[in-house]
Amino acid sequence: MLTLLDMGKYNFFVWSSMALFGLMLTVDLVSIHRHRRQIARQIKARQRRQQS
Amino acid sequence: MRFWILLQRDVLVAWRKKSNIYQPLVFQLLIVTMFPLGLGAGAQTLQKIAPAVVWILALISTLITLENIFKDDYEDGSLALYALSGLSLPLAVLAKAAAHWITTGLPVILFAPVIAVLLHLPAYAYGVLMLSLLIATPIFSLLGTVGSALIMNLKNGGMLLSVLIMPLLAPVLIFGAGAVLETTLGNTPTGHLSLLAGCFVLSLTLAPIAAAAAIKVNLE
Amino acid sequence: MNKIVKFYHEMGSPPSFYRITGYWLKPLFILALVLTIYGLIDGLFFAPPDYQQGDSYRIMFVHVPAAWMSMFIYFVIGVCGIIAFVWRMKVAEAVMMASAPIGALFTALTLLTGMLWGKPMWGTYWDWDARMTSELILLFLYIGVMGIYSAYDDDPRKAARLAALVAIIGLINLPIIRYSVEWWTSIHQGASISLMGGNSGIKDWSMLRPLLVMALATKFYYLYSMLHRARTYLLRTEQNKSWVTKQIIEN
Repeated sequence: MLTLLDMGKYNFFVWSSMALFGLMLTVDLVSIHRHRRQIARQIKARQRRQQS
Repeated sequence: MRFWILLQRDVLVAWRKKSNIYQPLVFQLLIVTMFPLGLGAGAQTLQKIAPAVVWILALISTLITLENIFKDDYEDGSLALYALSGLSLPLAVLAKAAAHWITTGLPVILFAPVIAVLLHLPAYAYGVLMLSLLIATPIFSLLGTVGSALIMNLKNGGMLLSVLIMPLLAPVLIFGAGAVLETTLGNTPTGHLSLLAGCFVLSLTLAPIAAAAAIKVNLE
Repeated sequence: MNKIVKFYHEMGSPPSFYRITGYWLKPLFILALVLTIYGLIDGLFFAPPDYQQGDSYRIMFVHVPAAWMSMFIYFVIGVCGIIAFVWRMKVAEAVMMASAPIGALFTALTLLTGMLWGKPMWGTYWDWDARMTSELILLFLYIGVMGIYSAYDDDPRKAARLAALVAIIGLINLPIIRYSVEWWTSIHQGASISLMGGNSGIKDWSMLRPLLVMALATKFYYLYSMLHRARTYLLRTEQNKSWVTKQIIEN
């Protein structure tokens, strides 16, 4: 199994690229959900203010 | 007729405050001093970078003046008057761009030889340098009106203006500085200059329309 | 015919768009995830090493789909910009601004993985060749669209209109930039091998298959990300409408 993971002298480059890919997708996912929660909170706050 | 009146007015306003005209030139002198200070005063090194640096300095010093093309008129309300006056807005934008060129582009062209001397640009390249700047500085003014119209009512729009304008200026820089570089290498600059002229025609026809659209959106 | 026309019109209305695309989110994400895992496992472990480049060519399975997406997404932004500017369609504005962050991320990923591929291949992390330079300028175009939208924070509709204008200007400029940068590099012969030059000549199916799977995976992920953000965008800009209030209360 470990021999499959070994990319020869290119280990660093290939695995950093894959890590960057994973990092980018994670950043995007987190940012989507955080943004949505923030907007929902803002709208709820506005609604509460309007009702009172 | 109204085109000329607008042009005259803008040139007069800029002329009244002479620092508007001197500022880009002084800026160029300051920055050009940094190159030998950073690289060492060797004439060989300076000569190698001379075509690019003269050109880039002309570009950057114009860039810092672009922010204000529409700002003052927007803030005191005269831009709204232009839009309502019945004068076609693209034509008004063209007048603005022309005025900007006369007060900024022309001085930059005339000052370029000074910078070129400081960087040891070979004598036979001066003609092409002036010619390339002559074609390109109107492009800077025209594209500048587009950028300025987009960031009109922002407080710190200067940085965003540079981000927006830079991709549009990349081809101009490639062809313009490339023309001078080719001349220093002994080749003919006709190809570069023709493409530069093409960029000029493209921006002359399209930039006023884009800027007018941006002004209309911003005035709503 | 009626069903298609009806669907098209529904997609143009914010509440219907919100409702319909809500059903698509989970399937799109699962598809993207599954295809990514399959594509990466296939490309990293089952594809044979390249004759010239050894194992380093496997970066291509991330770099090339990212590059394709960065260009495709900008094209989508440009077209939505035209629709938003000319017809003032709210959903077009939403799709346009929702595509920008993921597009910029893909562009940055292309540049970074390109650097990591360039070091083993050319010996240098960066080279001003036509593709890398125009990719960098593409990043500036994305930043410009996002920048002008966020600068006009208080008036989202005006911000979207200006962003649409910037996107259209960028779209018109894209061919000019590509052409001039390619011309510029052909004169100053830098590196003669382009980073993406390899993929057009791939004849080995076991190398091509993971690439195509990853390309499909990134498309599905783009759709997931864009639709999710577009829905949030519509919630924000349509706050005053009753359908938004109902949605927020229900969630």
